[in-house]
Amino acid sequence: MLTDNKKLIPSEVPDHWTFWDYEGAIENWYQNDLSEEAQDQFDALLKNCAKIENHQQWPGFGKFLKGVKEPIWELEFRADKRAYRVLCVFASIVAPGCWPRATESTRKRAILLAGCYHKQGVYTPANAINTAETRARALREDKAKVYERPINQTL
Amino acid sequence: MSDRSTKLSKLQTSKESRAAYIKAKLNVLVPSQIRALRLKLIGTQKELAAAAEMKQPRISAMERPGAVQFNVDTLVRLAAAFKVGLLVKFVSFSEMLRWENEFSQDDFAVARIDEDTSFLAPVATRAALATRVEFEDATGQPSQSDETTRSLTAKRCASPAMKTPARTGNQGPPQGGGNLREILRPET
Repeated sequence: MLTDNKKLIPSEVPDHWTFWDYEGAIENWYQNDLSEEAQDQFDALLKNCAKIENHQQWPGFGKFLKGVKEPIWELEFRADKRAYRVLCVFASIVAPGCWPRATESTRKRAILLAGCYHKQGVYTPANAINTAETRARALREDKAKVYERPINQTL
Repeated sequence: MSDRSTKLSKLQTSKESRAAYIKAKLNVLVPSQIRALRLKLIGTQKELAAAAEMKQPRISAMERPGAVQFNVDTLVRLAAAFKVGLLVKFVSFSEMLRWENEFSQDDFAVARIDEDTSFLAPVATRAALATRVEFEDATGQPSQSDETTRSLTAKRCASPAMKTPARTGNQGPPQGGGNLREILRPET
């Protein structure tokens, strides 16, 4: 860790983005609510996004949600005729105690809070945004854990 | 995350699983390539829409994973608008995976036809390559390979005129390159 006039400067920026699962909720959604095609596409999407420096250039990077108190944004993909949305936040809001290990830098980390799908303005499950907001608040207040979602290079 | 052995078993036994897997990769990597080329070669979605004679919302959809089911005609229209070529090629699963792992939207670049010297002036490119080989012969030092060399070498290796021993059994992936002098000799 370098210091500059008492300001901490993270020592390095990771090459790739990493994606973190809120308390295993995303893995649960992946296993129970996604078809095989949607699972494959979700995996491919994360693998591709991990390599793109500027998150605004991620295919599927959606808007920040309006009318919520946390800076939640959407990652979009469409599979088996459903428009899936993964509600996410960046690591900057996450309290240090939420990470599995103490870390100097949390740059290039995205936290996946909740999965849902979307049709004509209606989210399914209907409480997906509230759930994501509650989870983001829990991360801000150091009341939950996140776990890294490995990206499989062999599939 | 998929357990690898379970997934492999499904891919080997189920046609639907194979289709889903292939479709998933294409649904992510085709939009990603379109976005990369649009940003590098064209600019805004509106500008690409004008070049490809499509509407901007369609371009926007084509850059979202899975939002559009592409057909070859659409891809051809985009390639023509970008002034690049297009390959649609059947490959092994390992080659598809390797391509996915090596693909980076940030680094993806394709020469437009007006900058594609290997295509526009293949004779001049060959002459430059021959000079390079003579230099290597004279000095005994290999010169640094460049895009032209790699491109030409790859093309020559892919040519049916290139006589290579038949591949048998599980020999792993084919290796690129080949002996540059041998590649050039039959025609120089």
